[in-house]
Amino acid sequence: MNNNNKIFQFKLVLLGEAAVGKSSLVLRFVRGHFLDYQESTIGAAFLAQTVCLNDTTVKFEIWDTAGQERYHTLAPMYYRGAQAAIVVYDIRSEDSFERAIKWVKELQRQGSPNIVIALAGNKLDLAAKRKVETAEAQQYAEENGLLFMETSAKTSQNVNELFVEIAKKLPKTPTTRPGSGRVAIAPIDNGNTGKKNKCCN
Amino acid sequence: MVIKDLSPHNNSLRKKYLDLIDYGNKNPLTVDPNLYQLRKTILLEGLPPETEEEIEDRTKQDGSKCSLRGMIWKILLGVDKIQPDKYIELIEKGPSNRYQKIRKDIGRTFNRDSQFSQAVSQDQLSRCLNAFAHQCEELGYVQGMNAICGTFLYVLPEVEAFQCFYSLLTQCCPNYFTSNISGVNDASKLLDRILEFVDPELYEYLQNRSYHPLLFTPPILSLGTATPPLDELLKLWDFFLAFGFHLNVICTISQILLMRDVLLVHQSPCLLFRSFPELDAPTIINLSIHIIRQLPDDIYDLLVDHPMTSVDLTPFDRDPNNLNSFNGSGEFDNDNDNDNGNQDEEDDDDDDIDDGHNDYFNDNDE
Repeated sequence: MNNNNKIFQFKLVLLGEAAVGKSSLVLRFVRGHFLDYQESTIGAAFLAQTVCLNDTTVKFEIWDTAGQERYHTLAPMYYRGAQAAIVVYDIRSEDSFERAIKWVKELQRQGSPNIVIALAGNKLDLAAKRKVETAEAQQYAEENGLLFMETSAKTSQNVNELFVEIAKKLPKTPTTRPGSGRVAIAPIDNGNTGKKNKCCN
Repeated sequence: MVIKDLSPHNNSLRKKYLDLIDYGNKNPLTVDPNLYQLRKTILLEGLPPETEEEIEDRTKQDGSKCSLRGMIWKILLGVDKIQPDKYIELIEKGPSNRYQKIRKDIGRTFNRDSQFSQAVSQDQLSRCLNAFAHQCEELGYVQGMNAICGTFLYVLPEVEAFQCFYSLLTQCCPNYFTSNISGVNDASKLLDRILEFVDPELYEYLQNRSYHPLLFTPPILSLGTATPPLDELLKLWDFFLAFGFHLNVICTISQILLMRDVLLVHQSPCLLFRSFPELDAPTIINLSIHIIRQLPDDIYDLLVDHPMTSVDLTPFDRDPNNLNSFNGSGEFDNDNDNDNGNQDEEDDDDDDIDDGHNDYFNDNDE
């Protein structure tokens, strides 16, 4: 049977300080648009988008969370069971980078085992006001096994690429991971006529 | 748009409110029955449309904003003395330690509503939130407060808006803004339970498609301000201020039920909750009253209490491992044959209507 065109579904969560551009990144990815004054996210928002790789389709169920500390108590409920996370900071803000590092640590400690974490330095279009050097973030990402990209939700630079890289890195085998509840990855056979033929043979 | 010839009904309704307010001012000893009459009138008749003068006055940032709605909101929030000195004192303290966070949200408050930006300046909003962060350090600033404060600034002059904002957050729903925002968690659980109770079929459908109670934190935490248009929101707030902000949970459920037909044929219905359809306040309020009538007393009591005190919702806790959307194993559009599945457990709802909490609402039929 043809193994092409399998669909995999993953839960992805966005974390990071307030106003670093989490919602803007997601909306650029999902809707392809950008607002200069994106309303602040209260609690969290739920969106979905698919990415096509060569022979598979990856569907992301995305939880875009609110950045402010007060909402931190809700965060574990959002990242529980997530197979992927994007931790976002603003390249113009050291504080937001520090906060991103804290999120990474928390995910490594309390997130799903084998969670794929991407670090995104957003607002690359404002690189003139950069405070966080690329090399610094790159090095941190490498030491911690994170994907790393600098992005601009405004110009869309590296936004799709970021999600594609995550999609590539996610395991696409229907295995059960002990301790993380039920399996996240449910391959779905799109060539569904095949099955019927099989029993007729 | 502008109501030029106020119908006789609107005129007499306006007069009725003014008489009620006047009577209340002259008879402070009977404050409870006075308030009862006011609330009842809000429930049964709503507020009259704004007059031309009120609308014109509102669009000026330095307008007096002495609207009927403003007067009624102040009464319902117990704001009787206006204290400009106190407010000025708070402003003179300068930027609070939350000021940077506040500034980040100022420009994105109701930014798609041109009437709002005409009526409320960013400076007003910034001053008001900063003053609040000074006065109430434990609540400080939480995202979402900007829109709540903005709603008051839209209706009232700055000092009065500040006092109403303070009164709302500290008296009506403090648990939504404490450091662990426990009230929001409680509200999500209650919403979840009540949605299952009033519409088991829809609930089941959502459950199988990435549903999680936390989907509804935005409308809860924003006290409804996350959904336009603002003018309809004001009517919802008339209702909330008269009877309690716990009603926001019920009105959120009403909004979900109004989307029911669309949700039940949508392959990923939970995506639609990112933004609700535009508010239609009268329909939402009617449906909410209908929902409240069905609710068992114990749930209604918890609902009433949850914005103000911690309530014990352990009976409603669900096993986190059963939140099927949250371990990512939710089904998939084309792989899903058991849509109309099993909802046997909750089918004993209808018989059990109890009226203990419906005193105000029963008047509606008369």
